[in-house]
Amino acid sequence: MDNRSYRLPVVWATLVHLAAVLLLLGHWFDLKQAQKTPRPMQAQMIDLASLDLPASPSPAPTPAPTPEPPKPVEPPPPQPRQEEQRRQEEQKRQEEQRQAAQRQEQQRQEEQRKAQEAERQRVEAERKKQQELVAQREAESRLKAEQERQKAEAERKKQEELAAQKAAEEKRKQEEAAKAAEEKRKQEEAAKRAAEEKRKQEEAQAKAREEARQRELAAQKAAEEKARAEAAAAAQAAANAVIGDIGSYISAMLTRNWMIPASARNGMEATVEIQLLPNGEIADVRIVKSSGDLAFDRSAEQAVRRTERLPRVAEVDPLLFERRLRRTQVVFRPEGLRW
Amino acid sequence: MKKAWIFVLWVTLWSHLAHSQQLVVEVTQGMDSANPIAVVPFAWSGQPLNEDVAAIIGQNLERSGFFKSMARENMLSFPSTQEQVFFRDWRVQKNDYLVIGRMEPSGGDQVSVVFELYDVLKEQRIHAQQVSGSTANLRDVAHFISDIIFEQLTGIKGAFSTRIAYVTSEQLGPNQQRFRLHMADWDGMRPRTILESSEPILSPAWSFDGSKLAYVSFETSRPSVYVQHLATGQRERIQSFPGLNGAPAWSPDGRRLALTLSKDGNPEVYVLDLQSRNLERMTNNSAIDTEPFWSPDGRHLYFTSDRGGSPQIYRLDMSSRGVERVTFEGNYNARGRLTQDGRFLAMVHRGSSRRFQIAVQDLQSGRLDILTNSDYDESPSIAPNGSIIIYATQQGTRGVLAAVSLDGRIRFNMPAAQGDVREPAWSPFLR
Repeated sequence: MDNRSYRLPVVWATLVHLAAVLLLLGHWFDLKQAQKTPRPMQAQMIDLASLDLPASPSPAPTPAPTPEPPKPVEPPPPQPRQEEQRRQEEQKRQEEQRQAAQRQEQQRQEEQRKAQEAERQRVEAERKKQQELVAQREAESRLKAEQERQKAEAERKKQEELAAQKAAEEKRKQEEAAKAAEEKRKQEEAAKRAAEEKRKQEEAQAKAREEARQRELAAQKAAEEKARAEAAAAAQAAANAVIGDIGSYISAMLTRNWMIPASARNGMEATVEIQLLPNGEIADVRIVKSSGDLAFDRSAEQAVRRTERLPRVAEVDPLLFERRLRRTQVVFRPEGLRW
Repeated sequence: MKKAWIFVLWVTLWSHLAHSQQLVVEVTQGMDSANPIAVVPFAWSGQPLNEDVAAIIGQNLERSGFFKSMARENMLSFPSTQEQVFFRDWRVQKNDYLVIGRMEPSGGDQVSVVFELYDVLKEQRIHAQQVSGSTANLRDVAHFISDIIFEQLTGIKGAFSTRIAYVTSEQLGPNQQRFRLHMADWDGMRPRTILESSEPILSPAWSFDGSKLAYVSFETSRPSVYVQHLATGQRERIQSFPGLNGAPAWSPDGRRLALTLSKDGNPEVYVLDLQSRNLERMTNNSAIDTEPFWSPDGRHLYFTSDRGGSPQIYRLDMSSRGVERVTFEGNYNARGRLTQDGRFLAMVHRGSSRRFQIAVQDLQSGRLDILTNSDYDESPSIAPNGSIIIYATQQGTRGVLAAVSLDGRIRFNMPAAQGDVREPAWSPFLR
């Protein structure tokens, strides 16, 4: 992929360079032409007015601002040892100077003509240049258009390529993705299976642990329960002992006050409920289960009423009293009667 | 909803627990004594009366064996209205019940009596009632009030308004005796003679409706069974047979009489249909079968027989005619009577002490208890409410009437009547 990606920049670079070369080509030709022409006609007088050109950077035959005579070519320094030669040379030089003056005049005229010509040429050149410029511009625009087109084409191609590439890429990616997905799926499945396996193992372990914990808890609970039960049993036993004592006491008190009626028969049984007060007073009594014999029932009730109070009840723990004694049932069941 | 259920469950459980934890005291022994009751003299502003109503009530209640009446001299006050009652006073003096009353003349010899019954321990009025009577029958008023109080407190119908019949004999001179059939209040007061004879009168028996008396009279040459209507005094002689005619007993439906007849040789028990005059022999044994009496439901006929060697009481099933022995204890058990519930059998019993005493046998358990402590007790008869047995006993050389409560707790002698008193018979409830 990486090595491929250079293709496009290379093309681009080539194109850019080409474009630069093409752009500079005209200028380059132009420059060559301009430099060729004016060199030999240094320091020429030029009608400024006629050349009233705004400061043109053009390197065309720009007349010097001051009409200085052209500087003669400096003769080579005289060499004493070559006097003759120098003389000759002087002559020659003079001749040359004269010829030069002549040439100069000719040259001036020529120059003038040439200037005119140059002017014409210049105008022409200017026109040409304008044309060229136009052409160049057109060319440029064409080039540009071409470039644009090319560029667009390239772009399109690139796009297409890109698209194709992209599609390929996409396809590849998809394939890859599918493959990956498949792979992934397989992996996942495997992972899943493994996970499931693991989970199961863990579950089993957890279950085992939980069971162990539960057993432990249960054992603990049972132990606690047992301890509690034992404590409760102990408390209960203590309470029962107290209650049992009180029960015997109440029974004895009532026995003293129970006048068994003549109609009483063995097997008769009346149950009364005594409402006790914490101070041992009997607040109320009522028959809750009749013997069927009014005299017997009355005798039971009377026994309680006659007793009036049970002082020892006041000694019982208030809580125990509330729970076990406040409402006490008494069963009157004569034993050893004649009948 | 769930919460509510849990709450309900909790409450149920708790109450169950609470209930199961509740102390249950058992009382199996008590005092063998009667309930103390105070019957305060009834207020009266008129002329002195010939009867003390409160005293009669107190005595009645005491004689029932259920109550012990407070002596009047121990009373701290004589209240006659509720406002005058201070329960604490009565309670301090160990009274369970209190009876107060007031009497007012209501024109002529009429008297209006108001009585109130209180539960001293509960400090509550149990009953109040107004009763009317005349100065002449104040004893009836007293017995009536006694009945109400007794029933209010025991649930048992009072038998103080019932009567007793009995026979007296007087030795008027050599070979001259006077026999009388009497009827009196249950306590022996106000006796009336309903038959007088120079010949012996035996075995008075009340019909179940209390309107007639059957008895045996020797007024003719041989003993005959008579039926006398109490209201009219009219009497009729029932069939008379050669030999012994005796011991009549009314069937519960009042249409038959059980009799002892010896017309066929030795005494046997017969049943006579009073309408058809049909006589049916119930026993057929070479031994003596006598003194028949009916079970309250009329399905059994009890009688005394010495078929086992000594007099014992047997029971005859009226439908199957099967006979079974009922008494086993002692060598003499005779002259039986049953309580109205059919459970207790009162009889003359002679055991190891060789004395004739009144005993009661519980037919349920078979237990026999001797109630009296004299040598010659005879003819027990049971009050219709089963509370008291009246019987004849010997005092010195003459016979008197005595009574004992069924449980033997109370025993008392009836007021002495003239002559030798024999064969009491307690009436049924009278209308």
